[in-house]
Amino acid sequence: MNRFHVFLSTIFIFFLLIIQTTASVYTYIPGNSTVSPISPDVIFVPSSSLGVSSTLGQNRTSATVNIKASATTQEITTNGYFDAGPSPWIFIPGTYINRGFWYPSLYGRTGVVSLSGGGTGIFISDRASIYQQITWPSFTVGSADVNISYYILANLTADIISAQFRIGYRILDQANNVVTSNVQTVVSTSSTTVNTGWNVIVLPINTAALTPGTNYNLHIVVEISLFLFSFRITPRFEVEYALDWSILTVSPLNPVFQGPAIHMNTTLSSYNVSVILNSFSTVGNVDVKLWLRNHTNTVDSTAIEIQNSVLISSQTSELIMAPVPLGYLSLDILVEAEIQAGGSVTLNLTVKYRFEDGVYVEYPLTIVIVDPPNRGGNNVIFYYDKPIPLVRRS
Amino acid sequence: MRSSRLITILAILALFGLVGTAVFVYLPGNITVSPVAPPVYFANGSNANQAGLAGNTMTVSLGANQSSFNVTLQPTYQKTYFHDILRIVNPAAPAGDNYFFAIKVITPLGAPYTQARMLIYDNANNLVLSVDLKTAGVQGWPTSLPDNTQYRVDFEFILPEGVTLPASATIQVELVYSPQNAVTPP
Repeated sequence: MNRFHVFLSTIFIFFLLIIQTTASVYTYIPGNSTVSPISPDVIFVPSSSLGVSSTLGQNRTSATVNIKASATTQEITTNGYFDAGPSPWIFIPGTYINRGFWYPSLYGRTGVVSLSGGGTGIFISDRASIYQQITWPSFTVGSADVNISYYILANLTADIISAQFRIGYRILDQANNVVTSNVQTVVSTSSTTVNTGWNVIVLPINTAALTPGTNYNLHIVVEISLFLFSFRITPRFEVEYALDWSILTVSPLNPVFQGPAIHMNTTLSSYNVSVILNSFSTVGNVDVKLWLRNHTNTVDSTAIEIQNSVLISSQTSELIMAPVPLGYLSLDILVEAEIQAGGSVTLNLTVKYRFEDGVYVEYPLTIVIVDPPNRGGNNVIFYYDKPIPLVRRS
Repeated sequence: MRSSRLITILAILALFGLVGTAVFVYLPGNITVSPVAPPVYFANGSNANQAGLAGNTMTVSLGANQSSFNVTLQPTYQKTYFHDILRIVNPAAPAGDNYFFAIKVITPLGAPYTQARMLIYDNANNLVLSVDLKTAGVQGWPTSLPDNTQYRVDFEFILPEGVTLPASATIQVELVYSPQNAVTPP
């Protein structure tokens, strides 16, 4: 083979290599994705809780919530003034004090519970009570007391009389053990009649005996201890305790907030909802819990939790949020917070709701809890739970 | 003598180049086209044609030979994520055929969306390709699509709050695949 043939062969092989490198096959298969946006089915709804203000996005798919924590004294009994009837108070009769009634008005007061009874005998000791379930607050309680407005009427028939009338409270756990109590003698007499008029007694509570976040039964007790002796007649007695209010109030040690920070509502479909804590910042020591509750108030999610400014849990469990009747809301985002005086906490959150496995949506939510400046002033206990018109100058 | 022969041949070739159209030579050839079943095709995801937000259906329709797809999704404000809507399949048969693929965005999604993505995952839930559906062009070349593989396709959209709800818009894409990965497809 001469040089010319070698030259041509070399060139031919070179071109073959180039063709081998560049020749291939590409297949193109098309697809179209049509995006048809819709108005949001799930929206934020502001909370009307005291101390809460909200700023919602234009389409209510984002929110910033500002909460003012407060150290104001608060009542934890329900219907402590008996203005809404006897519920939820339950009567436990004694042997002699065995009549219990609620009156819309009695002895010049409105909403009054009367515990009464009578009998005969020489040595008589008896106790009756009304009780309801309370939940001891999760925050640190600085002080607490039971405040009772009472009126005692009694008729004692005997020649020799020694009578003590007592009133107070007993707090029992769910196993019916007395956790703490305070019952005081308010009348000690040898007279045949007792008519105290309306009085108020304030009884402090040993808060160290109670566990935060625990349910107890608060009993308002009335007791009698009588010695009735007569030479000629059968000793007898009649007694009535009228109660205008019996309330348990607590004063937080630090500024606190409890209640719904914001609500959510859905109108067309049910979704699984959860909240994720992306980041947080604190000023001072902070305890915060955030969880979800649906509109039936019977189901709670697990909580996002910060204790002593340290993250314990960064996500709630999922809860079902469903459409509800008009006038109701599908879901509450609840917060319990206790912050150091002058402190604050900012929570940067994502609310995530999904429909089964196919689609989910994420909304941003920011919650800021502060101890407001210039808080000052005295703690006030409100004895009236409804507006009272001011007397006008004539 | 040999060099003179070479010079003669080269001179003749040069003359042909100079003269141009003086002579035409026709060399015959045959191209046989033998179509095959598509080795890579689309399939419905587990949430195809299922209910989505507010009772709307996330519709998926495939071409007769699963070589095209049409998807309709209904996002709302903020971030909406659609899970397992579509699949990309390289079946077990024929065995041993491995491919590389990419997504070519032909008609991207415009404003007011701030983000639109096609997210492709393997069986182990590893993200193998994220396609920006707001940007035109070939993305992700070459992404491996081994034999006997089925990838899951999700979609994600971010529609900022406060804008007027936009009208429906269609994103056109092509999945381009090849047995080789040396050269980016056109």
